[in-house]
Amino acid sequence: MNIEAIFGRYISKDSPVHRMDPRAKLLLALLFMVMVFAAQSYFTLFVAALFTFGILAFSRITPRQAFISIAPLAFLIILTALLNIFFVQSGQVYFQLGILCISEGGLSQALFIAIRLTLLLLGMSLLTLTTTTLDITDAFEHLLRPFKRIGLPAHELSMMMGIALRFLPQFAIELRTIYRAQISRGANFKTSTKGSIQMMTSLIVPLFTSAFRHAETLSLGMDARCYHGSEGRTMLRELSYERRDAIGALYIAVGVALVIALDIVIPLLTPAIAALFGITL
Amino acid sequence: MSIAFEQVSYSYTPLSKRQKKKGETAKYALKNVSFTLEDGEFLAIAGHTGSGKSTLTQHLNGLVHPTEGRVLWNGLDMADKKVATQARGDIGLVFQYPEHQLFAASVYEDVAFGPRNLGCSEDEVELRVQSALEAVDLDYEKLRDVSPFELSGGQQRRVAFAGVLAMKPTTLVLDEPVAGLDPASRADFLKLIGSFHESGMTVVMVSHNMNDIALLADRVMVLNEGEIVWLGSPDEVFMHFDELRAIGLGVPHAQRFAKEMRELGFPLEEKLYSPESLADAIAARLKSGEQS
Repeated sequence: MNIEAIFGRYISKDSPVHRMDPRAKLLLALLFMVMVFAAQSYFTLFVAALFTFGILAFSRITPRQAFISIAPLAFLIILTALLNIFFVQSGQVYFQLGILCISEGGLSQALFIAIRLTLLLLGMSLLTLTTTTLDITDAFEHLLRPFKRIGLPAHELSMMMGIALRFLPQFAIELRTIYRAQISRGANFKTSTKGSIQMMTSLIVPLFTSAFRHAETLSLGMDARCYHGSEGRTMLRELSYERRDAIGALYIAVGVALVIALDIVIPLLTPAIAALFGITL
Repeated sequence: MSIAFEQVSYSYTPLSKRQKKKGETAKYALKNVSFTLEDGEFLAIAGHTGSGKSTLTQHLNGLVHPTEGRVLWNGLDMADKKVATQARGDIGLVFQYPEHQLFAASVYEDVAFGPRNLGCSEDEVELRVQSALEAVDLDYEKLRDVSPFELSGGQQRRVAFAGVLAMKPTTLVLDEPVAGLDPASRADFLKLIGSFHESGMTVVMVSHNMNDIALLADRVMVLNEGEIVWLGSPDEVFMHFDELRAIGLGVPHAQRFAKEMRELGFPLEEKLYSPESLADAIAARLKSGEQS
């Protein structure tokens, strides 16, 4: 198990994107999704890609790091692409075997969806690559605050999220140790047939007991520090929106506007341009 | 059954060819480690946190393969999966806090996991479980159907030990076997480990407690930043007071006391002392002083 390659693990760098307010980043990530989904043609998807790589450049995360971080989810992209190849049927047929049929429309659709998903994952992983989990949970709590009035436990929810995120890598490491320990006792996870359930319990039971042990220690630690929830709690660093957050918002807003506008304008303009060059469609 | 390390280096993030061309140097957890584990010896491995101790132990039964170099078990390369699988029946590796790896509903089932994986018959499994539990001073009849999670921490660790012993290894590799135990169970455990060694097993023990090492080991290996600094008998290694201190390790209490006495002008020989032999030496010296 490669601990480095866990989806969107924070990479510490000094960049404007890193320094942005986490609340802004969280909201802009939603807007980013709108941009990627609004793209309806290859051309606008290309524009969206330009904007995505623009963020990448500002964040000083190398494309390699970004792609490594989404690599574990590549199967998702491939799966969706395959589904599209086989389920979308239009245009010229290239290959047919029984009910399996690969057509021009299917291939084109598959490629389109694959690019779109890749952009989406890149954008989302950029959020977590440039924001510490602590900041994300803080932002989450702030954004949920208005719902407190209707009884939503904003602080508790974000704390649970923070704890869950904090323990993910911890459990990955522990699982590896347990796995190795059981291998040392002759366990065979690859080609086990009859005892496969016992093999799995030999991993899962120790992992669960470890989770309970951590939970107990953690709650004891919180009690010892007189933790009492969000009431009257202050922050070491108060979140505040800065100029760079406005610039970031503007950047994404321009992206969204451009993508939507181009999608509307291009189909309208195509006949005009064609007429201009004297081509008949 | 000997295990030989031949210039073993290990890196968690091996470099790609392109990176090598760029002239980047990899970070190694182990660097150029060569030694042979002799049959029947008690080798202690000492080192500060992050010195590569645990990485080295995981090379001993083929869980981790060297980035460079070879680990040979009876002359066979452990990078071969079949060899590694065979070797694991012969080399019992007990991880740090082994009680965290218990999982079965009863002590019997947990200890039986190893022998069953080796393909033993049920009769053989029962024999092995019984003798393994007895070897770690646990009452087989009383505890066999008890859940391991109901036992005390020290007992859980004994069960975990038994789980490895039931595979009848000739070599036992122990990673910090007494970490986190109270002083009484510590002493019991060290005695137990000593008895395994006396019964003919080859033992490798990772520890940073120099007193434990001085008490038990035939040979001591000191690791620092992935490299072997010293490998020799305890009295050879523990001569290096200041160097050991410099890499974050100490020397046995008796040894340090003897050194301080010497520096204050009390004549004592330069050799390895246990607390008892040091007391004898001081008493003898005082007595002869009175007579003259």
